[in-house]
Amino acid sequence: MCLSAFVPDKLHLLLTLCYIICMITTITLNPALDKLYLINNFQLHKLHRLGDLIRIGASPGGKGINVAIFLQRMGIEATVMGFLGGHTGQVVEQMAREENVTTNFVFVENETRIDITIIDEKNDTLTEINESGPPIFKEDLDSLLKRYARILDDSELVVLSGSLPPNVPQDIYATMINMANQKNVKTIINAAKAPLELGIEAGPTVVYPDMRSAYNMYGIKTETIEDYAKLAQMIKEKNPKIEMVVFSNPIRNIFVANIQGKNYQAKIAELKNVNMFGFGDALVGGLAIGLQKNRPMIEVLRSGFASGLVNLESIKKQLADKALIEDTKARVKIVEIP
Amino acid sequence: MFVKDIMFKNITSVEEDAELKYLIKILVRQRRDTLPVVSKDNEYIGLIGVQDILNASVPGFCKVCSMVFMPNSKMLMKGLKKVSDKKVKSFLKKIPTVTEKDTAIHAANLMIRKGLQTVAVLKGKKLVGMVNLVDFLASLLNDYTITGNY
Repeated sequence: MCLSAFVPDKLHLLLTLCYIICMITTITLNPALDKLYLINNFQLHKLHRLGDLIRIGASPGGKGINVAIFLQRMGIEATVMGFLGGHTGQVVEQMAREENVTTNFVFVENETRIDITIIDEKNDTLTEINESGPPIFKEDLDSLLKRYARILDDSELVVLSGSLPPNVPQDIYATMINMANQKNVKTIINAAKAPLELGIEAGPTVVYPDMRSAYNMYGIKTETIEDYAKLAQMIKEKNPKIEMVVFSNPIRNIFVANIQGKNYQAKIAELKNVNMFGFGDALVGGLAIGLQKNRPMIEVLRSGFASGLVNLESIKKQLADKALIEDTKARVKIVEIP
Repeated sequence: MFVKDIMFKNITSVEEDAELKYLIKILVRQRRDTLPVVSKDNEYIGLIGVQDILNASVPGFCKVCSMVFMPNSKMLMKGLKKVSDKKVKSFLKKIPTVTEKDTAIHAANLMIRKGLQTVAVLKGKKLVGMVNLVDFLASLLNDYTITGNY
């Protein structure tokens, strides 16, 4: 029997007013269904039957969804918003449901994209086929922005990450950051190219550029730690609201950040590169947890790098092992770059 | 077993001043027959479903003592076109809600009494998810849970 049935009306109203919902909202405008196939001796013009391959099932994709799954596994309430469509959209929503993530998607006319990754261990090749996603019409975009405005009141932090589907204006992240800033909600942006550069102008709390696919930000080639530090300083100077800029390149063991105008480098003892999948998303998740707990920025950074590293050194995706992350924090030494 | 064990944390909703034709579009795309309605401040107001849209579309003479008779499709189409520009808030149902801490059987009881398939789960005045009757039944049969142990 429900307890609330015994509570008088006015007292019940008072009780309900005491609840405050606080959560992290992640935005995934272009989610995907990620399919990973392990096929030995993958060849063109050849039929690969399911029998002779080990298929590693499908998983929901899109950075924001992965961040939300990571947070939920760490025991933090996360809501994911964005556009889904068609049957694939239903599958992605169901997968998010199984992870206990709160969903608030705008369903659009066309199908959500499917991203296929084929790994050939024998020949050491990786083939990726990524769709661009369904086009978004103005009505759906307006609907998303309306819902976003409503959900901001209950959010402590917003994570904006990933690419944009066709037809969405490049300044969408900038618009969303401005809306969050008006309500004093912190933001993390993890994107690339024009949406990121326009987003930076609006002043997010944390900037973590996605440097995959050989992206030269502001035309600067980034190879050494000094290059990254210079770029981080440049981004910081774009808007005083930016509190931290983070860069990572685990292949070269480069982990750089700019906190309040000072450059830092993280040195990690005995770095093992096992699996790049999920590294960036876990890093963003770690940063989000640190920010939500209002930790000092250095600790936020340490939390981010430790969460990322745990996922870098494991074959699993979105591994949220609290004890392991705490242990890994001890391995992250953060020093100032003079 | 509690509501939190069987609820679906989907907070998709329509705003009270959305038009009925927009609501129909969302229902089709999401493959649902009911959606929660919220205010501008994101506070839960009520539920609206296919049945409410139908009730609003049939002409007055087809309703006798809370029973609704289906007219011919031409009449229904005419009625539907008339109401399709109207706001959701004029047709929604105010149905009791549950909280995550309520027992699942309490939620099921509520749904059966009101003849509903789904009911909203609130935290304070905010929507945190929905609970479906079919999920409750499935959980009884298979130890099937969405969120874990109970």
